[in-house]
Amino acid sequence: MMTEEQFAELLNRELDGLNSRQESEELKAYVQTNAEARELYQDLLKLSIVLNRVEEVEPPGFLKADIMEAVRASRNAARSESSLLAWVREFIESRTSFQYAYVFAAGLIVGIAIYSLVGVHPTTSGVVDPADVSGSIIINDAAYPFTAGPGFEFNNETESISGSVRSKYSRNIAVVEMSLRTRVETAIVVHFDPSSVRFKGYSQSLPGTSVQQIEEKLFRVTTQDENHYILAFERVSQVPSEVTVSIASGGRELQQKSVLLGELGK
Amino acid sequence: MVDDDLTIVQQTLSGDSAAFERLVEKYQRLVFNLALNMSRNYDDGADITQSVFLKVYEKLGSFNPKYKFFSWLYRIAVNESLNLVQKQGRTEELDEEIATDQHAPDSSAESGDVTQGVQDALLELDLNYRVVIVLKHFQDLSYDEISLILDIPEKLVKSRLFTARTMLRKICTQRGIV
Repeated sequence: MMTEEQFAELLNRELDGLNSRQESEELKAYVQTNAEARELYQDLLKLSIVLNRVEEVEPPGFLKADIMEAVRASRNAARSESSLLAWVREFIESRTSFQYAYVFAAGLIVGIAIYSLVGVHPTTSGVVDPADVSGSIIINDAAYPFTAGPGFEFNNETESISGSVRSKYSRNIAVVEMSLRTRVETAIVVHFDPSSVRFKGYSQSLPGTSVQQIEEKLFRVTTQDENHYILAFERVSQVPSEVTVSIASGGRELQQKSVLLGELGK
Repeated sequence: MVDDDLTIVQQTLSGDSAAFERLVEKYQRLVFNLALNMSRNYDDGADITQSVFLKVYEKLGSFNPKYKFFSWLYRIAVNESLNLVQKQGRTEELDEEIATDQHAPDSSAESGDVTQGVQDALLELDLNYRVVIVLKHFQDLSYDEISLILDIPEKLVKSRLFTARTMLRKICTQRGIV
């Protein structure tokens, strides 16, 4: 009795003309006893004859020329590249000072890498350079459900300054949003208590002419046009935190109000 | 044959561009037919062939002379063909002209139709199965050579070949070709 695997092996070899006479006879004897195997044998034999009858196709006459053209182009490109590299190498080797520059550059790279791995980067202690913390703030409301906090509108017709302050907070984050429309130089100063909220960053919707200043307990922005600011704080205390917003222009305080960022968990 | 190839390879590597041209001349028909049978598109066959020889030229320095050059060339050709066919995700009909010229060797329209029908059916096969049929039937390679080119054990070559044949039979039967 022949196993399926033996049959497949013998049939493959028969189709490829590799069977000995004895193996061929063994296969033929087996297919005589098995109708399904016989049908497969006959079909594959026919198929094999058809496949072996497929003749080679002549490649296009231009193919060799195209290949050699591509090879030439590749060789020329490699030559120009290698001659440029050789020139650079020679240039560097001919100038000893460049070797010192390499050593210096390598040292600098290693130093930066070590500093970025183990260095301490304070963000809220002392005066912070706004350029270090500015950028876009993307707050995923779904992940951090917010509670709307207090806010207020302000409108000074004499100075043509108007705007609004809104707040919202979650368990870990507090956000103060400020809109301002003005045609004279105006400052908004936000005072906060670093023992309950830690300043994390701000964003403004328009590039504008705003100038920001961030200190340990306050954020100040000065502008002379329209803009929208978002300030983000990390909440670090269990008590509600008071944030005071004041608007000033021409050395005069036009408005000052406090907003209370709610209790944790509320 | 192998020694000849090795000599030509060494001549090419030493900067003799006419030597590489001899390699192209010797193998372009073989590579083109492999690519054509895999893609079933005349233009793609030519594009693949060009890309194969360019790759061969650029990588000739990494060719290990302990292997046969043609096996190495085949491996590149198979990979390039598979890459292009996979990238395109399509199987086009052969140009009418090619089909007429090349697929009726016995001048019998009926026989030509059967041959072309089987070749078309081949396109239905997964690439792993199509390639073993192409290498075995159209390139007339041994199991051992196919195993080397595809980098799979010889036993797997045989089992894939058997599966490919039975799958092809099924398609051809369904289409009433065989």
